Amino acid sequence: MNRQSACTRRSFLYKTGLTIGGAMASANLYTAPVEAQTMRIRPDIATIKANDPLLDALKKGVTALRALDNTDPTNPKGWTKLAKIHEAFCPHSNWFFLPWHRAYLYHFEQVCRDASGNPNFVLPYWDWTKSPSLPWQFWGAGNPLMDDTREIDSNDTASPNNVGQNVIYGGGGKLGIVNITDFITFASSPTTTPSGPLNPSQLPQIQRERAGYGVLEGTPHNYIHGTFVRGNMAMSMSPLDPIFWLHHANIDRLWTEWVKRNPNQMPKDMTQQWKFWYDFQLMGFDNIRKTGRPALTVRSVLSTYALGYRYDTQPAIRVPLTLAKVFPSFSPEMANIKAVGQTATTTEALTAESNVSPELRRHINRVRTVAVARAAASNATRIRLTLEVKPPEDLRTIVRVFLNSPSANQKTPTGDPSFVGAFSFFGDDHADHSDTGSRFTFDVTRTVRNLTSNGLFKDDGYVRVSLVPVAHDRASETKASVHLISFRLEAVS
Amino acid sequence: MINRMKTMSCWLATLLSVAVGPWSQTPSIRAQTPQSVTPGERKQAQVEVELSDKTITPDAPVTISVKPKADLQAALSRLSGKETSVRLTVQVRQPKDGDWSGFHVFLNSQEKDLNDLESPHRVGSGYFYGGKEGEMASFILDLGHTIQQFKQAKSWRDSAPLRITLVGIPGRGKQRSALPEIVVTRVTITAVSLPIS
Repeated sequence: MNRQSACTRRSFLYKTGLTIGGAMASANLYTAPVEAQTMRIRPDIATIKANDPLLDALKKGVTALRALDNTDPTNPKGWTKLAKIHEAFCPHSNWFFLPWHRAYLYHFEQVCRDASGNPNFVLPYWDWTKSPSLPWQFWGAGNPLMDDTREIDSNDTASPNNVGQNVIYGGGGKLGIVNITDFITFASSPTTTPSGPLNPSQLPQIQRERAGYGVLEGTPHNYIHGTFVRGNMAMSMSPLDPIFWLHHANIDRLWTEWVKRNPNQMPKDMTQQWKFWYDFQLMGFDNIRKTGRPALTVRSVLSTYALGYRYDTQPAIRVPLTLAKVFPSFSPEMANIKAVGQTATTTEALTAESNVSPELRRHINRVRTVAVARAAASNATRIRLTLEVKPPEDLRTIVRVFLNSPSANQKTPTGDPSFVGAFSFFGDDHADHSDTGSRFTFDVTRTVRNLTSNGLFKDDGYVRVSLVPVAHDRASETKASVHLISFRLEAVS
Repeated sequence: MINRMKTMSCWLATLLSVAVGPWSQTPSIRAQTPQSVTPGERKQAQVEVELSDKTITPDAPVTISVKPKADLQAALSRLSGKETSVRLTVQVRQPKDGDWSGFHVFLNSQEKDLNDLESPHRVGSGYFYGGKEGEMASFILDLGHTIQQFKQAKSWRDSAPLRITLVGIPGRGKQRSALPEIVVTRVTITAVSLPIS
């Protein structure tokens, strides 16, 4: 079974907003890991039949990892060692709960895939709302997915009062957990935020600080662990029971469901406290991280798409819902900028330049002078950049975008004030897109302000947009180019 | 918009009146703290009730009655849409693993409601997992939706006390009568304006 997505040309063309951080490009929330890959789709375990290769791969992977406990007890990828990561590092009852466990699953999925020998392995999820009994695939003597310590049997069902349709999705007078607008109430409480210089030795303690359970964690998550399944699942070594991974995949999936339903509610990283959260490096995975891959921060795990997977309940493409809401209409001052038609490569970045109309220039200057806080609190003018590009031969290429920084190149950091965001072409079939480009849209208001506050905004009536392709790996460098068809800058309200 | 913001900022100072069920001790009233309010949010009002070892006994639930002062009343009276969140935070002392599964939370309930988990009075539940016996565990629940439901049913008065009832859930196979009490240490109601992007 091939669980990697295959997009049609139509869906490819529809993907006009699939920026890395596209839906929330205004805050540059998502930074894609360089190892971005073909999209993998995590399925509901209820759809997996006995003869499904995925079930076979899961069993093989778990068997191999369990075997390491005896054959190579110090191997960090052994079953017990993996569980000890949870015991030693897991955040609970705080706002790192969701991102940390997403990273944990991400690493486990890779470890289990390697151990299974099946490159198509993906982690299924247990949707206890639809299937309130612990899945049949996880029962039976001699089954590597069995755990003898469970205090339930295969016929027991989780209570609909804690995991039922109305509780999770709403209905019958219930709001539904995924409809809770407030991120803190949904996703658990903030920890302490260091006010002064950061002492790295404090970070492990902060990651595990118990601040307060949000509803997703405090009700269905805790209920399944500590009340329903119990045994190992009730302990901090809960990953010893293989159902742990599928239970948490469902929690992870419900986070994506929350994002889908609350596209505008993710807190922005405008304050020190939220910046601390977004930039927090999730700890505990150094020994199982693949060589050469960067450590994950909260920011880097906010999008499952950026991590190269999605659930079968997520759309195949990410629709820019936030932009659609933020920009309900175009202002009459919209200014088109002419097509440019040049190609950027990994060795030669492209900077396209065009003059702007006096009207647009006036809007840009107004944006530059409005205080950030005031602008955020009102429906002030925003500046939007739309790029139309032809995709590269290697669709895994990531293209970074900079504003008014003609010297931008591969070494220019994404923390540079001129950095706008990045986009890529996950999971697309490259067969047929030679005539039409893809559009990517960014809110560059913040970048304009960043440049201004750093004294780098040159108000000379021109705007310059630079594209810097970044290859997926060294072998792909010659294929990592992107052709800019046109760009457009506009002031919208 | 500006006027609205000014009004909200005026709600910051908060006092409260608290009445507690007849079987409980008198709680102390604690000055508001910024707990569970993050930068970027605008706190409209908060009441925090610190309880001196108030307990959910095996035989009876506990009810905490909170009479909000004007700022919380104002926040609740304006409650609508997605822009305001009303958080109920319940802090308890973590019981021994397996004794209690957790507790259900009800708002303005009658005794008959407490056995009905589909009741519109049920705000939600908190379940224990992990944590050490005796350490504090806080649970945040959404109170806003329940209040809005009451408003729609015309069974809400902004000035009336909010009666928060906690009902213990015994652990699997545990006899309720054989269990120790759950110690409730603090209840906080916070109304915040969310940072809508």
